[in-house]
Amino acid sequence: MSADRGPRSRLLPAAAIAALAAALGAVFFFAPTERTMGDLQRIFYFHVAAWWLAFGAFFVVAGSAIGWFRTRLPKYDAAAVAAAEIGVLFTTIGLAMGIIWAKPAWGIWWTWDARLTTAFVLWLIYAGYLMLRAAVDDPVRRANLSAALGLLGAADIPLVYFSIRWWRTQHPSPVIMGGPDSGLHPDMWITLLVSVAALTLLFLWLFRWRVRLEHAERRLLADRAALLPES
Amino acid sequence: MSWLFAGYAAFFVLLGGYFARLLLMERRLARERDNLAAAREDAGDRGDRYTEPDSRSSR
Repeated sequence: MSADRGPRSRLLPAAAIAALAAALGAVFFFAPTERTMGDLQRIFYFHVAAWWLAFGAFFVVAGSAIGWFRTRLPKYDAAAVAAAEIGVLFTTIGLAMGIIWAKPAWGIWWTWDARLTTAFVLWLIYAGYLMLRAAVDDPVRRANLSAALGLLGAADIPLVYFSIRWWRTQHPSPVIMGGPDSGLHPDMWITLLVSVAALTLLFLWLFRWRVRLEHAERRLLADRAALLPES
Repeated sequence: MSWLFAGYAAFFVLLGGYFARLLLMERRLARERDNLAAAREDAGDRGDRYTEPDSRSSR
């Protein structure tokens, strides 16, 4: 990390690391053991938090795309690429933790039910978004195309979220705002909220860092173009 | 219990991978900034343009 940051900018990384430690402590030592799944259920806390943050990141991509189309300011494109990368990271974490939970819980790593399929499609869309960006050299064209894909991709988020309410799936039913038999023990709620807070701080840290690098890269390219106008 | 640890290990491996990406990007940009500064000095000394080795950007 570069030297242009003072103690205030170290506050966010410190808070994120402390919150992550607190969340892990809550997951392993505070949350009660679930009756049917036992300790395996403790994967739930970071799995759910990662998915919520992934949705949040892709909403930032969509919001930045709207900002780009309205203003054509590069800061929106920089925010979009940062959020998309971190969204793909959190989606990958959510998928990986889900797959690792599924094997002992279901006896299979994966099944093509509505929740898993829509979630995988979401991952594909934003992985494709990053590939698209890498494939287009012209910055304005790249921003236009990726903003369009970023907006379209966000349409999959409600499908992923509501899939377990709209269709019968292998994936567990919603425990939050689900049916009358759903719900969480109060200590499980606390653990989930601490996990979401920790991953939110982590997201903010990574997002701020990635946006700064994106701006630095653009400045460098502009400086190089000024020095080498023919390149 | 081992599946639980595998789940959280996956979390940290993936997160670590992204941290590594950002750190490498940081180092690459710093190196390219230094190269550009040297190129500016060089071009100023010689009164002509410097051709820098191509360096691919990662987006």
